[in-house]
Formats: sequence, C-alpha cells, structure tokens
Amino acid sequence: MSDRQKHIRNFSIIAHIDHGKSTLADRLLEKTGVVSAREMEEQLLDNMELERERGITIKARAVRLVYRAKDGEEYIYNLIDTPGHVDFNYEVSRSLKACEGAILIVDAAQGIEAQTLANAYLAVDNDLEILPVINKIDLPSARPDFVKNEIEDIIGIPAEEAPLISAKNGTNIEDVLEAIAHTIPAPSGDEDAPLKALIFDSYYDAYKGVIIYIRVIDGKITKDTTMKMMANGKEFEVVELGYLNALGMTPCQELCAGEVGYVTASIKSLKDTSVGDTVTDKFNPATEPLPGYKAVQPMVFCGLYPVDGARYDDLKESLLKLQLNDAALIFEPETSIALGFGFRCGFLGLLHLEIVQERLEREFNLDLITTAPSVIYKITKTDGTTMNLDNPTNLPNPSEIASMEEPFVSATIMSPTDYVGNIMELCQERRGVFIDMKYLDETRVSIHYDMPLNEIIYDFFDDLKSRTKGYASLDYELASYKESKLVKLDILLNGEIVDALSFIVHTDKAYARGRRIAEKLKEVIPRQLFEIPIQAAIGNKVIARETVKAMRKDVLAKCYGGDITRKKKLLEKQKEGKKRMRQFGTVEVPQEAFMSVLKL
Amino acid sequence: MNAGLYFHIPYCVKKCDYCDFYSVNRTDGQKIYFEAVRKEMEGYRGKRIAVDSVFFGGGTPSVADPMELAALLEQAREIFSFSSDTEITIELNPKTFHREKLLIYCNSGVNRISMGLQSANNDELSKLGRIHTKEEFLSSYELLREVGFSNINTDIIYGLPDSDLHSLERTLSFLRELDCEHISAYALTLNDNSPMYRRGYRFPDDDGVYEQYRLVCEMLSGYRHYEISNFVKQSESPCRHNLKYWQRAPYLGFGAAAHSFFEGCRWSNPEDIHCYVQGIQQEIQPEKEKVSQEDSFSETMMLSLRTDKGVKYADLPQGFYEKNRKLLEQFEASGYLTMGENGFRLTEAGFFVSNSILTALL
Repeated sequence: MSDRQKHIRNFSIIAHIDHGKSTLADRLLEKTGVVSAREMEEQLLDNMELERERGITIKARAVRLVYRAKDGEEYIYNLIDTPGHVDFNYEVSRSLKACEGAILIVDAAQGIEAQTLANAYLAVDNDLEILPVINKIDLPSARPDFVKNEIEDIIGIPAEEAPLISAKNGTNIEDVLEAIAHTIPAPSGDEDAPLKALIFDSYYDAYKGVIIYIRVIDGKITKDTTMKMMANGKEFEVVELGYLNALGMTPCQELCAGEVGYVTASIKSLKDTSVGDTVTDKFNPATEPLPGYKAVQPMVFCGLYPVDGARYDDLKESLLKLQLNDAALIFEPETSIALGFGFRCGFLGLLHLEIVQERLEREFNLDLITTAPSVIYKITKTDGTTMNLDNPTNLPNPSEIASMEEPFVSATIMSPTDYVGNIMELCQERRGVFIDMKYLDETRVSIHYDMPLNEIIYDFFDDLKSRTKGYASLDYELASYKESKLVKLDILLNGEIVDALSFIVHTDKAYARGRRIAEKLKEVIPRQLFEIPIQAAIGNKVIARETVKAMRKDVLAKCYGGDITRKKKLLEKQKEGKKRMRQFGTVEVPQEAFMSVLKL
Repeated sequence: MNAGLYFHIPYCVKKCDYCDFYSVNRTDGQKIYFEAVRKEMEGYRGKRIAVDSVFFGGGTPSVADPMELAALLEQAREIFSFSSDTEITIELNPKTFHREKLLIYCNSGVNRISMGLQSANNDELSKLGRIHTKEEFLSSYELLREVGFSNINTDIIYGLPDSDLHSLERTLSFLRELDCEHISAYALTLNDNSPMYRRGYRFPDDDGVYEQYRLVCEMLSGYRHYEISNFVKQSESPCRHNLKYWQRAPYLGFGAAAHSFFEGCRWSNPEDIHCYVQGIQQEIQPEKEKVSQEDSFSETMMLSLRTDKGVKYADLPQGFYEKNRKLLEQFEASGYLTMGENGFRLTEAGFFVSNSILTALL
C-alpha cells in the first residue's frame, strides 16, 4: 500500500429513506471546511431541483473532503452519495463498488427499517466495512441503546462504538469523522499495474461533453493517457481530470490507484461510455476488466408520448440525455393508435417513472402523456412459442394464448406490531402469498410476502403508508415468474378503444378496477358538446359503463356596451385549453385523465 | 352603415352586488365628467357622421342630472347627422326617476326605455342588492306608460341564488302581464371573487341554469328570440343599437369605460372616471387597434352567431364550409344549429353552448 493510499478513505452513506443521509453528508462537508457556512445550501449533495422537493437523492454524486484527524494525519475522504429509495437500489450497489466502506445511518427513534437492512446486505455483498452511526439522538423518542442492540441482533455487526449523533444539530459529527479514519480500510491497489478504473457515474455537460466519474483501482491515469473503454473498445484522449469538490471540480495532474475523480475527454456521443465499464490505458492495457455491474432490469414499463405530436424529436433527444445519467432508463420507439408516435420506456419502479416524467417536463419543457404502467408478462402461445410482453396492446388474441406468467417479488415489510392486521389485509387484497413473519423485538415485526409486481406498481406503497400511519417500510426484489389468470382490460370512449388506456389485470380484479377507472374518467373528462359513453371491456364483454353527459351551458350571456374583448379573451382561453387535450374521434381527453388512471 | 352612439353614465345610488361593469357608488362630481364627455364628442365635429341610434347606459343614467343628458343629445345632433327615426334609448332603474325627469327625456327625443326588473321575487331582489321591490318596479313602469313611452325593454336575470323553476316562472308570468315590447334575459354571470359567493347561497348548477333558460325560451315563445339574451315582440323591431354590436356596424362610445368600433378599429376609454377625465383634458387618445382580416372573420362568427340570423358563408373565409362540413353536420344532427343555403344559425340549444361551438369552428 502506498503512503498516498494510507490516507485515502472511500465510502458511501447508506440508510433507510429519511434517516438523515443527506443531512449527515452536509455536516461532513461543513466540518471539513469544504463548504463555508455562507456557501452551505441545505443538502448540497442533492443538487437536482426535484431531489430537493421530494427530499430524496436520485443520482449518486461524489465529493472529496480533507480531514485532519486527532492522530495529526491528514486524510482524503471521498464521499460517494447514494440514493435512498427502493426503486434505486441498483444505483446504491453501483456506488458501493467504488468504496471500501459504508456509513450505515440508523434513526435512533425508528430503528432498523426495511431498506436499512437491504442496504446493509448490499454493503456486505460488496465486502465493505460497515460503520454504524445512530442519528437523531436529539429526538425525545430516541432509544440509542435499543437501536444498538437491534443493529447487533438483526444485522449482526458490532455497534457498541457506534457514534451517537444529531446530524440536524451538528452533534458529535467529529466522532463520525474520526471513526471513518479508524474503521474504514484504506484502498489497496497497485499504482504500477496497468490502469483499471471503474466508471461509477457519468454526466453530460453542454461545454465539456460527457464527464465520467471514476474510481481508480489499479495503475494511474494522467493528462497524457489515451483511455480505452474495455466494453466497447472506444478510445479517447484525456482532456482534463481532477477531483470532485462540493462546489465544482478541481483539475489535477493524475489520479492514482485508490483515488476518485472525474475525467473529460471530448466524449460527444451519448453511447460511447457506459457506467460500470472499466477504463484502461490504450498503450498499457489491463488484461481483464473489473467485474461489471449486474445489468439493470427495468421492471415497470409505460408509453411516453408528447401532448404535441410535433415534439416527438424533442422527446427523443431529451430521453437520450436523461439516459446518460440514468442507466436504468431504457426506451424504444412505439406507435399508439390513440397517441401517435412515442416511446415505450422501462423503469425501476413507479417512483422512477414519475421522476423521469417530471424531469422531462421540467428540465426539457415537454408536455407528456403517460400510458398505464405495465410489467413484463411471459406468454406461451398455443403453437408452443413464447413471448415477453411489456405493452398490453400487443397481447395476442386470447385464443392463441396457452398460458401467461406474471412477475412476483419477494417483499419485506417492517412495521410496529400494531399494524400487522392492516398490512396482512392489504397484502391479501393485492394477491400476496404469505411466507413468514418474524418478531424483530417485542414491538416490531418483519413480514414476508410473495407479491405480484403488477399489484405493487399501482400505489401499493402509498396504501401501505396510509394503513400504518407511515410506520411501515418496504423493500422488494424480483423473485420469480408464476402462471396466473390474466386478462386485458380495454377502455372505450364513445365506442372506440383507447389503446393507451389498456392494461393487463388479474381476472379477479378486473371488475373492480374497470369500474374504478370508468368512474375516474367520468370525473376527469370534461363535459363536451356530445354525450360520451365510457366503457371498460374484456374482449367484447363490457364490464363497467359510465356516461359523461353532454354539456348544457357554455355561453357568455352579455356583451355589454359593445365590449367584445372579454368574449374574445374567453374564447382564446378555451382554445388554449383545447391544445392540452387529445382528440379521440369527437372526444377530447385531457392529459390529466391519463395520469389519474395511472394513479388508481 | 349608420353609426350608433353610446354614452356611459358610471354613477349608481348603490352598485348591485352581481354587477361587473364600471360604475361608482356616488352621484356627485358629475359636472366635470359631463364636461369631459362633451369635449370628447367635440373631436368628431365637422365629420357629419351619420347616426341612427343612441344609447345611454351605465351605471344608472337616470341618476344623472337629466339636463346634462339633454345637453349631450343637443350637442350630438349638432355634430352628427341624425336620421329622422333615430332610436334613442336610456337605461333606468326603478325609484331613480319621477315624472319631470321623464318629461325632460321625452322632450329631448328619448324614445326607448330599458329598465331593470331582474326578478319579480322580492327576496331574490334583496339578494342581488337591488334597491327596489317588484311593486316599486311596477309603479315605475306604469309611470313610463303614462308619460307615453311605447318602446320599453325590461331586463331580467335567471340562474339566481336559491332560485328554481318556480321562482323563475313567477318572474316570467309577471313579465308577460307587463306586455313590454322587448325583454333582455341574462344568465347570472359572476366573476370569481364576487361577494355573492361568500354568502352561503345555493347557486343552480349548469344543468339547473340550462333548465331555467329553457323555461325562459318557452314562456317567452310569443316573442322573437333574436339574440342569445334578447327577445322582442313579433310586431316590433329588435333594439337597433344592440344589433350594431352583433352586426359589426360602427359605434362610438363616450365616457369612462366606453367601447368603440369605427373605421375598422376598436378602442376603449379608461375604466376610471378620474383617468378618463384627465385623459380628455390632456387630449390623450386611447390606443386604437386595427382589426386584422383574420380577427374580422372570427369576430363575424362569434357576433353573428349570437343572433337568429346566423352567419353567411360569404362573410367567412373562403372554403370555410368545405373545411367544416362534417362538424357542421354533426352539430346540426345534435340540434345545435340549422344549416341554410347561404349560411347557418344556432338553435336555442346551440345558443346556450355557443362558446364551445365557436371554439370548435374557429
């Protein structure tokens, strides 16, 4: 181990959502003087507008801190931030691959939650040293000793020495900084070996092109290096490299084994780099790449269409740009009879879907229509062939289908014992299969269910929260495919199928959902000049029916004294409103109608 | 085409709670206002513009000094070229005039009266903030007849707070007994922050207002329904002045908040007495907007379709019929409009959804 490496610590912070990850990151930045109080913006690492509003970290970011420890030595801390929501688990594992250790924050009042455990296991899987930290000790309900025991009993790591902090008030942050130096191992790696660096994130900059974030494992990269991407063989001359600071980037001459930094190389094409790839030196290449990431598996799919069909190309460009920073997002062109040209997109979960949609609307100024979300179904046809279906429109004629399978997840729900009844009821309603229930202590349980994914993607999490007063936490992972009795439910407006509203549903749920959707559409479709029948149907069989009555009154009674400007303005406003509607035959459907169905 | 003159008298004893037009709750300071109106009119001297209608609107013209109105008319006759049958209308409110006032109007040539009844139910009148009762309206009306006015319009409003078909029926029956020449029936339209919304009244919903509209149409079937909100006795002619608005004929508006359409331009005066008077004194001209060819078409459509004459294809852009044929036929099949050889017009059902029809066609 080089002397340089002895003073480097690469780590992530992992936690259940809302246990204080971003707040601790801010305190670490403050205490190490990277950011002055004046520059300190709340939760600096979460620098996307959307992240701030939702209070969640979506994208991993990295920052370099310098800390003088009590032993008099100066340490370089590379903090690699990770997302906290279950949808983004794969990004957590991506960040962890670049680290030797992880700070595991546990809320002193709430104790271990489902994602505390899931993240801790991820860290263990990646051979990381875990430094437990107990946060929010300022809360009246804090039970630090109890939580220490919980960490030891449930996760199985020692917690006696765990720093007890309040990130919010800045209490005992020094203890964390000290513990990092002592607990988390320094990187090892051969500075003289051929270059091997892991791309753990990338970012598109309008001026510099693609900026890649790397962790150098072996060797070194300098300004003279000609990089070679080991997965696709592409080569690039390094233009600039350096360290990542909280407030920007600081160029340097070289990055050596154990270090974390950024590289720019006039990489123009969005597809020339991939996160998880290994960078090596063209003239002194490594023989084997680093073990890559597990390929990300999108689990939820939906169609995204521009409200204004003319903006199809803008949507495509925007998706390409987002994809650069979001390896989990996949998309391919598709056509809808109802909506025209758009894209079928794959997401990690419903939250991921919503975030992508919101980013497209905000950052790229697009108005979008989202079709009903779907999972991937496996279909065996009567002729023996099989197909994967992510778009309900493509479902073969039922007479050609021998069997259908749907994805099940293994779901873990942690909750105070008081809500066990409510949780079981909810899981039962959602076709869950009970596996087991374990008492974590006298007051808390861990409940394990196998659940169909297509039941989880429709507001399961919201429902869980509301039935447990917000106390339950959820984690899930894809488990298996199981045969299931599924049907396609179509929605007809004025007798015409609107393909964008079709979805696949379990036979037992079809009636209830069909009815709810028809009722919801009746609410959100405004009255128009003609009566609009709304029908939910399976094949030719109508299972629910509602009617939007014809409009009776839409008139300006008075144009007093020859003032026609009011009327002109009113009509202009109405015409503007029409632009946000999609026309299906004579029926105009507002964009919100698609969203509201998605939320059911 | 002859022009119409409009004079805005922005004074009220007490502004009605539903009213969204410009007026003030006082009657003083009129001298300086009328001076400004006369100065504004002077700007047209020498042009000999032909005029065949005059309308005094408000506010409440009847709260103004009648001699001021007479003076305005006298001056107008000097400046403009009045046709011998010029229609001269004044809006009155019950309880704001007496016999002497009416005689002054008469002598200065006023030949048409428009008076607000709004409702024949006294509880509804008080909810609207009107200053009169049904009985007071009736005695004012009888006085008008006594003095000799033979062309009277009565305004009513439907869709009133806590109203239903029964209360409206009472108003309409009362109206039929009056046997006035002209009736304006407006659906109550409040702006979003109207104080009336804060009083816990129950307002009929759109379907309810539509039912009331049907009742109005039905009970006034002896009248010609010549515009969305206007009815005239079969034997009488529609209000010439109001028709100018729908027919895009020229009109000149004088006074605060008055609107004009003249020589292809639209403009309006400031909605504030003080600003208006100052503007006139300093000879500041309001900004005139030339109506583009495209806007003329849409104005033609939205204004003509308010009337029972409808719109002629010849007045619309070339190819309009071919382009919209399918839609027009759909509307006709649904009973919203009637197509003729040279154009189309809205039906009574079509009138009440005219905004949506216009939005579809424009």
